[in-house]
Amino acid sequence: MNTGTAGAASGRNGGAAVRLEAVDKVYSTEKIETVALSHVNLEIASGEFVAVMGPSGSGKSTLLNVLGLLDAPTTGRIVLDGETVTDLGDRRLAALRNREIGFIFQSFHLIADLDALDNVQIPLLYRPLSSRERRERAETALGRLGLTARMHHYPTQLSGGQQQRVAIARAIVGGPRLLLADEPTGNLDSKMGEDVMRILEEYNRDAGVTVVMVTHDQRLAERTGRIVRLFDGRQVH
Amino acid sequence: MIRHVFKLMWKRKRSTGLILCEILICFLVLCGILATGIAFTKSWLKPLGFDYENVWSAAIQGMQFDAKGDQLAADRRALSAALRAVQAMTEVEAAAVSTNTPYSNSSWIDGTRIGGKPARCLWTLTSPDLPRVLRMRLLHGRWIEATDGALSYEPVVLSRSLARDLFGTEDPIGRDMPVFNEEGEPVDPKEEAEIRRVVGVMDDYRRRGMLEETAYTMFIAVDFDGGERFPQELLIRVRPGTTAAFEEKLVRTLRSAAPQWSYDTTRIESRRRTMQMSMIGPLLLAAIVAAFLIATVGLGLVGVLWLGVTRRTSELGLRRAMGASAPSVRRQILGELWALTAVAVAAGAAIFLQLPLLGVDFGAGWWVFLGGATSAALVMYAFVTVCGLYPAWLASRVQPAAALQHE
Repeated sequence: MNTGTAGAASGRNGGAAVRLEAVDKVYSTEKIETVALSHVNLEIASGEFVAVMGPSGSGKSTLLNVLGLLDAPTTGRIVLDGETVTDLGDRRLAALRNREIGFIFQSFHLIADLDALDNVQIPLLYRPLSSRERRERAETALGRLGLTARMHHYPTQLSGGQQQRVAIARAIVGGPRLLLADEPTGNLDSKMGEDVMRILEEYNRDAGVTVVMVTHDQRLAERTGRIVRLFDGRQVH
Repeated sequence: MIRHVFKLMWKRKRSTGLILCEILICFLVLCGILATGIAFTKSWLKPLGFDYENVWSAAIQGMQFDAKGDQLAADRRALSAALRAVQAMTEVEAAAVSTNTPYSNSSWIDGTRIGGKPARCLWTLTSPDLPRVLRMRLLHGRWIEATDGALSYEPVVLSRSLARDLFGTEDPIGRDMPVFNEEGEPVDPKEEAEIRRVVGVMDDYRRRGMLEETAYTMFIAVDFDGGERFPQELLIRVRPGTTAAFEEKLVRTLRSAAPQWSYDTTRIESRRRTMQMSMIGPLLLAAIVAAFLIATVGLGLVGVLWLGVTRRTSELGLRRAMGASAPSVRRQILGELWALTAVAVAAGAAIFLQLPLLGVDFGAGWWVFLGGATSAALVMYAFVTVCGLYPAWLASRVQPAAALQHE
């Protein structure tokens, strides 16, 4: 385990998967300005497994949103696979999210009206694929997570751990190079949490996918390659 | 994506049921309005079959409809005298007596059967000058003549559509009018006391104007010598430039020829305006009510869609995170609405098109219903698209980072 902050970090595969340069994120209302991220410089190497830690309100989720191109920084630059993406338009950002990035959320965010198979197919709906191809890929992803028997189950018919596995299948089905997980074990008991962590580790190790995981769990964080700590929107040592 | 949209729609059938019902009702209302519009347009484009300008009507008040014996003979003489007196006026180009006059509310109708089905036919009892008065066009054969009383049969002239539907492509001239018994079975016309034989075919006579479908019409000569029924109206074509003072002179002339009756004179043009208003008025009212209904449905639709977008904030955020661009979110919201519309339109069309299939076509023809349903579907799609634009735009504005925090 390597506790790191700003600057270059070498991953197993070398080269930066994503780099934040002097990123600020300020949320403004008429009366209040809230600084969520302040001058964050962070480079995550390709194939790296990074944990992001910090107290509530320290900017962990904002950092993940900025890394995942869900939120634009107020100032600063984001470089994804060598390409500056800060000024890209909505369509291009959406395409990058679709092809390059997978998301895993604490509350799973599965669509209750769709079964596991249909939930996993969602990212593929925004690609020029036939329905057969989408189905096959989703079945493969669910199979890798041991959910073949559950693919026609609806979220309410699945346990928390199974729901999170479906969410992981949805995140990896498109073959992303960067996987962003926001407290993926937060809603799970320790056994299920361990199960999810093991899947992420395997995916990082076997597929060489860069993983950035927000967590409050020191024990899980220590299993990653590096820990990035935030406090009041700033990186801390 | 289409399958995905239909799957979502099916899974959310309870919440989408309200929108579906709104679209269905709106579609059915539109079908009715547009089919009526198509029927009227079709009717409007057909020739009227007569010319109403410079034509006066003098309706006789006080003539007994079922007069008999001496009274009948006196009426016969008086009507003939009144007609002759009017024809002799210098302002008059032509005059005739007739039933079923243009833009009149009273009708003489006889029942017949066409193609095995009961049909109504305007039984127009008239005198030889009617085509000159109304400038009607003879298509084939001849018109009734004053000397027809000497014939062994009763000559009749048919409107084009009646001749076509009775005799098909065969030449109707010289054919006897079919006769049916009370059970609707055909009877040999020669067994009847009086044979009606076709001597001519006129253009269709749409006496109630452009907004009326073509009615079957049979013209029969009034018999001033031995007839038992007489028209109670004179139609008079005046020369161009005849002033309004003619009306007073006309009444004076009629009163001097047949003083036992009174006369109600009007210009046919004025009757036309009144009738058109009475026909268009209710339609206009129905259209206004329908417009309000559609506007209400539109507002309801926007509201329900808006609420739907709000409820689905988290899902929309997820889709954006998974790679949906703002335009693809807009397309999805509109696509779901179009899919719902497809279901509502299919159900509505299945209901609406039952009417002509069950024979309830109000004489308009099945294609008017098909045209109504097709155009209503197109209008409905445009309508729901307009209603869905704002909610779809709102959906596309959902910020994924914020939406994913939304529970």
